[in-house]
Amino acid sequence: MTDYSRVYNKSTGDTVVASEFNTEFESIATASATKANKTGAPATTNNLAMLNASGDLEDSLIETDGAGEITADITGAASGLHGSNLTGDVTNVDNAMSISSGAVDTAELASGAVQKVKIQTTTVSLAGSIASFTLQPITLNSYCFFPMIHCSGSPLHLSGHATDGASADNARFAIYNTSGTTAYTYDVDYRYINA
Amino acid sequence: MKHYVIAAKNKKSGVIEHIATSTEPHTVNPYGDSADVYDFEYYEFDNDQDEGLVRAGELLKAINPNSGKIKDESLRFSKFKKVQS
Repeated sequence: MTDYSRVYNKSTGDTVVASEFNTEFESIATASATKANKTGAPATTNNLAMLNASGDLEDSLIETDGAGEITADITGAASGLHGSNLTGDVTNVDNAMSISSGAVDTAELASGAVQKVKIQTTTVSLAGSIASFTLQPITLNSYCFFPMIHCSGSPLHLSGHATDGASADNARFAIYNTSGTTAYTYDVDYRYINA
Repeated sequence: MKHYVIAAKNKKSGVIEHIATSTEPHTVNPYGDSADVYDFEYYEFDNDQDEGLVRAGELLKAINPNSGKIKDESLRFSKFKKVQS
């Protein structure tokens, strides 16, 4: 943007000719044509200013307190906040908020904020028949909850797994049929947290 | 709701003795430690009644333990088919 610079610079009493007027006004026209136009009064005092497609100032309608804080709702998408810190509380996010790549650091969730319906789980159901004097090992998914175990008869006993899983991610146990004559059935239902 | 099934078939008798059902692909074979006793077959079906997970015990009663076919295919076991592991 070109600043206006005075061209005419003569002393008092000098004769001004038309060409000098022309030069001066052209200088003023050039300077003013490259300046952004001022808008009218904002809808609310201290609204943030924005540039429109012509490069002129307009009221963004984003309200601030004039001291660095946004004080009213941003009704559009708040996208592209790069390298800026929001130090105040963000309240009433009515729509989905997507964090595409950045981590959420030192986030503090309110007590009880993570409810069971917010945890993505899958249910697995197992069933079968165990012959007499047979140990049936069973392996569960990692991050599982304690299973529902039902046995069709008292000779079925819960037992440890014959192989050490060596990790909490290898949940396992076994069901042993202590009956020497009869096969019994079992049901196992459990949930695990999806990866 | 699509279901994923692992069936453990006794190598000697050829009878399906254990079944696992889930609405997500199995990432763990619950009977994998008994691979010396069982061959594993994989099935899928849709529960068109959309009533949640069909328990393995129900499927075990509905399936022919020798052929691996559903005895009476209904909406609960729609499109029951054997698939590759």
